Amino acid sequence: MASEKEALAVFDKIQADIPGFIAISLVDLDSGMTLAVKTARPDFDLAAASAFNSEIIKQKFKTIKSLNLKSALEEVLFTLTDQIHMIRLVGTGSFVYLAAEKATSNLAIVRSAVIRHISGLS
Amino acid sequence: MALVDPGTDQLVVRIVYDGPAYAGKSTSLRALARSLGSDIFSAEETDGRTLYFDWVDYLGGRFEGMPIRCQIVAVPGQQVLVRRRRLLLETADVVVFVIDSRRGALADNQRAFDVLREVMLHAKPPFAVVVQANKRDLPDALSLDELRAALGDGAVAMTEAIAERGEGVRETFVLAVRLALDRVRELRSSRTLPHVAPAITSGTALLAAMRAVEEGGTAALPNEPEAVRHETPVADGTPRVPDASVPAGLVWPPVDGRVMVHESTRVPPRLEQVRNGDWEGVSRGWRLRSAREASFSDLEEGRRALVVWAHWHTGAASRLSPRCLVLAREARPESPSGLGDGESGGAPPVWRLWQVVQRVRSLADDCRELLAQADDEKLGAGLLRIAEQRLRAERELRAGGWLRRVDVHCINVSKHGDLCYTRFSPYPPVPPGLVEDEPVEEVRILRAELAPLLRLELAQVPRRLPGVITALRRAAAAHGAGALGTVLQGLLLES
Repeated sequence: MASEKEALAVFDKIQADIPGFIAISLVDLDSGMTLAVKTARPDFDLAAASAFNSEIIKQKFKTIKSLNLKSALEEVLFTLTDQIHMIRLVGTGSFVYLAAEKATSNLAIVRSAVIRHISGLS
Repeated sequence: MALVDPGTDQLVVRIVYDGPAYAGKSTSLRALARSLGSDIFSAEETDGRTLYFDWVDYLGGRFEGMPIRCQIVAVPGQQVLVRRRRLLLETADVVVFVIDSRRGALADNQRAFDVLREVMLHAKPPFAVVVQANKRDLPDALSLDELRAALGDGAVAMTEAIAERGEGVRETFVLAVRLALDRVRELRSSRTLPHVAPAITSGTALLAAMRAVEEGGTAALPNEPEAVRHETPVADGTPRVPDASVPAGLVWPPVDGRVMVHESTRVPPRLEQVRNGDWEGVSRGWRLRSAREASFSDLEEGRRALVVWAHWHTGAASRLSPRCLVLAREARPESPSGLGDGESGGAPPVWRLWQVVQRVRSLADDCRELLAQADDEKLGAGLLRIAEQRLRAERELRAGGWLRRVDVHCINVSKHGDLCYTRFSPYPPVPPGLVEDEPVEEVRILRAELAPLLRLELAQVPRRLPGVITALRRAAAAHGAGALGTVLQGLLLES
């Protein structure tokens, strides 16, 4: 697991690659606690959003289990009217949660930037 | 105030009757004095209103072989006399907070309770409060749940009374003595129970002492914390109490935890280092603890410990009373800023992991309240319910091996019948073991935990046992719990 300092270095790179970057966090899946955060918008409650997103992933795990699927969850994408939210699993116990402006970014850019740099968090 | 008088080998405790004006404090004390066969001393009255206090001295009961001398004091309720009221409250081992049960008295009750809370927060160890809901015979009296909600403290014990008729007054007093003895036990375990002759042994002596304080001669009443404080464990190394400024990522649960930290530190708790080196504090409705070893010079190290502990709590969450974990900066005396600041050349920041637990009622509190005030019929059914809940807790709370041991003092039962564990969680966390498939030893558990409570309470309020046992049998038969009823019957007879 990356330290907070290492995670912030990765976040800097991701932010540089995503126009319309809003916020990003590394989150402990089990407890919902943020392990590192970076935000360009102070009013964005990243801690609360991260905690609720950990519940979403847990529910998705239950869905996968109930379907008897052998697949592993990789990522979850949300398209809001004005924002893109992305959740990307890091190892088995944590995930990255990212939010970006839809007007200045798109799904491809967001996915590409996150996947490119995320190995630094493992 | 509690002390052991070496001259008489008596345990002396002070029970303070507090509450807003016209709630029935003096009436309760007069009824109690009649019931105990004691005289009442009123230190100055105007038009029947207490100006200083009412005093009753009562010798009765034993604690670990020592006779118990109760100094029972009712404070003045008038707002203008709040200083005298505080002075007396600071001497309490337990407070009986007498309130008028009517809706129209709610605001006065709350105002007076706020003052009491403030005093209570600074008492070491804190004293317990029994709320005596008075004037229960009046048609607009609110329910106990409504009164409890209005006072905003779910942990408080509550009894019903009609002081004018003397009903419920003695039962309240018995419960208060029990709680005062709990405080004595705590003082004993921390080796801070003074062995000293009491400076005040009568109402006239207390009146003289109060006048001396008012005239500026002394700062506190004799035998009070200021006068006999010899514990003083708080040193320069006292850690900083976590507060709402703690970064969001250092709190579990991430959302509700921040609310809990804010609530629990609105009135800053005073910390005390207990014998094993842990730090503990009590705030308004909350308790805090940080284990001696839960201190980290490196934030990452502290965060790892927080996450591991949070995992344990996430797994056990459905079994636990409301609580949160906080990793907070600990002040270091050598740091110029008080927070430690490695980058500016001071001492490196030190982090401390805290657990903040809401104070809630335990099954033992329910049992004491029941024994103190219920009639035989309610007592029989209530004992059966408490025994069932205790045994259910053994199966439900210990399932999965998260909690190794539970007892009546750490089990809370919600209005909906849900059970939870109310003590501090272990640190470092103990991983859950294999599910223990061992049979629940019902008789052993009930004998070990309920029998002592029954013995103590029944010694204070002698009951017509045949009536209780009949009610118990009836309740057991109605619930199909004949075997449990038989066990409880045996415990009652032994008690």
